[in-house]
Amino acid sequence: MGSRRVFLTRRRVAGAIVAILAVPPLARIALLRLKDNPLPRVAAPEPVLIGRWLLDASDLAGGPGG
Amino acid sequence: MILDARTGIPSLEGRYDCCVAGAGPAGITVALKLAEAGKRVVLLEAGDREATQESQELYAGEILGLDYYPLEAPRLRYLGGTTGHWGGQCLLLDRADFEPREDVPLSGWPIGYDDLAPYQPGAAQLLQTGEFPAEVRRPADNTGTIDVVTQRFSSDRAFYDVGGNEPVRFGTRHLADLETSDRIDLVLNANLVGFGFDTATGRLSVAKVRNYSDGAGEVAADLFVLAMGGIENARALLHLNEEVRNLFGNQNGMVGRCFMEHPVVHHGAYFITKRLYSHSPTWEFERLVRRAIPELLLSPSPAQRQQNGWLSATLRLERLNRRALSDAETGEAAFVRDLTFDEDYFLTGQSWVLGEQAPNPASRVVLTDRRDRFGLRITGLDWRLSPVDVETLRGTTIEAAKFLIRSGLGRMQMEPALWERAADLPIEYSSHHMGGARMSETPATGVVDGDCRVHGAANLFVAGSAVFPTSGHANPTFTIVQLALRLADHLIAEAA
Repeated sequence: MGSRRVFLTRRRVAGAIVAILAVPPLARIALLRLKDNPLPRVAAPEPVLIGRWLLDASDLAGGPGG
Repeated sequence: MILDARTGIPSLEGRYDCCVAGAGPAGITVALKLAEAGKRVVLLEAGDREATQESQELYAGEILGLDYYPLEAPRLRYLGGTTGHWGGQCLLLDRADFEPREDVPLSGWPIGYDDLAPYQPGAAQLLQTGEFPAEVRRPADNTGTIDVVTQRFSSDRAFYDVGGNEPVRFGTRHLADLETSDRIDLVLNANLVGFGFDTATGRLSVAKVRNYSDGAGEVAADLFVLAMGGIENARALLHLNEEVRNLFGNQNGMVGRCFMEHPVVHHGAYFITKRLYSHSPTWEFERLVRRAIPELLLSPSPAQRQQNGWLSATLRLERLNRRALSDAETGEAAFVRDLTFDEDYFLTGQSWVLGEQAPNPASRVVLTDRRDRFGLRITGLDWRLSPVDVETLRGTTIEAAKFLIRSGLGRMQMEPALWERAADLPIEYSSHHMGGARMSETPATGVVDGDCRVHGAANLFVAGSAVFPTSGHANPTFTIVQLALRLADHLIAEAA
């Protein structure tokens, strides 16, 4: 049984470079997006001013957890 | 060529095609374009190549209305004018800014957006901004209430350009053009102190000039352009009309009236709950590739402001930083106090709102009884704010806050005095001086016509933001240069 040879082609080299350059930042962006913790969307905001902050009336019910 | 009147008024022989008073962005733009077309121009600059005290102090005036900066502070009286210290922010007026509104007296321009649009590339080139996209507004979300507005900077550069990022200073940028031009005679230290005129024909014949000693002289020209800045243009026209029985643009007492600023209220902090700038794809990217200052400009849509009776305005969210809110910023709001940096929010910045003022004849530039070294009466500024101006700032701020709440992107602070519509509003200013020689169809409501010609004066024109009938929310310099290019085209046709 003979070993299978892997040829070094330009396409493979380019693919490897792209993978090395592109994958880590894309993975980082995906990770950061997963960790995002946006506040709940509010379809019809009712702004109220509390201690200089322009909050929504629903914010007064509690912290970001509700 | 550049001449200097400091030690004596130079001999300015022969009749010039055009005399331009004021070598700021408007005056230099007009002069360069006229010279390109082969016209002979004399450009009178009251200051020197650099700021001097004797020139700058001639901008001193009296504050008669709302509190304001000392009048010699926000303006520069030397070659290049106020571009010597401007920030370089450039915005376009909206198409809607030119249209009359039934609920805003004296609104509407005699010309439209499309009249100035052909001059966008020329203004962009002179100001080094890069061109604006076809649509400078795009909806921030799908509610139709609020838009993101595109801004350009005179300091914009291509990413590969590692040179300085100073905004264009007209005095230094065009110095060589002015020195080498054989069509332009720039005269430094030449103060315009009056005109010779013929009221029967409505024509000016000469501009009277003084230096800082006892030197005096006259310059003869076929056409005259006042390009001395928003306040000084009105002042010069008020002086002229004292001599011509109000025949030149002041038939209805409109010279100096409807002076406008862009009032500003600073709100304090805002925070963003996403780590990436995904809510504004161009925000940080622009900073990277253009080295522009990143600011997100939110502005109620034209439909929204019409519905609420607001004028044009922008809420400016300044550059974000990866920084927690300080205790002072968090304050008493339990909701905000319960948030944790790096878990609930990731970025913070500062915000402020800038708004348009409604044209108000009571807000005006006047002449006081005190006189300057040339015997000319010094300026009084009676700047006023109308209730609709305050409502515009307030409504715009709340609309932007609603966008942040709707999208879950974050929350922002608001100046409590603006929320409460308090009388002691902490207003700041943009140093944008607009109106005073407003453009109008007839002298009943303004000073110059759609071609910037003073009503009733055959050969006197005004360049600069004094002619703005309304101001929109746009920083005025880009529009000033557009208008100056258009005026130059008109003068070239007139001189032919």
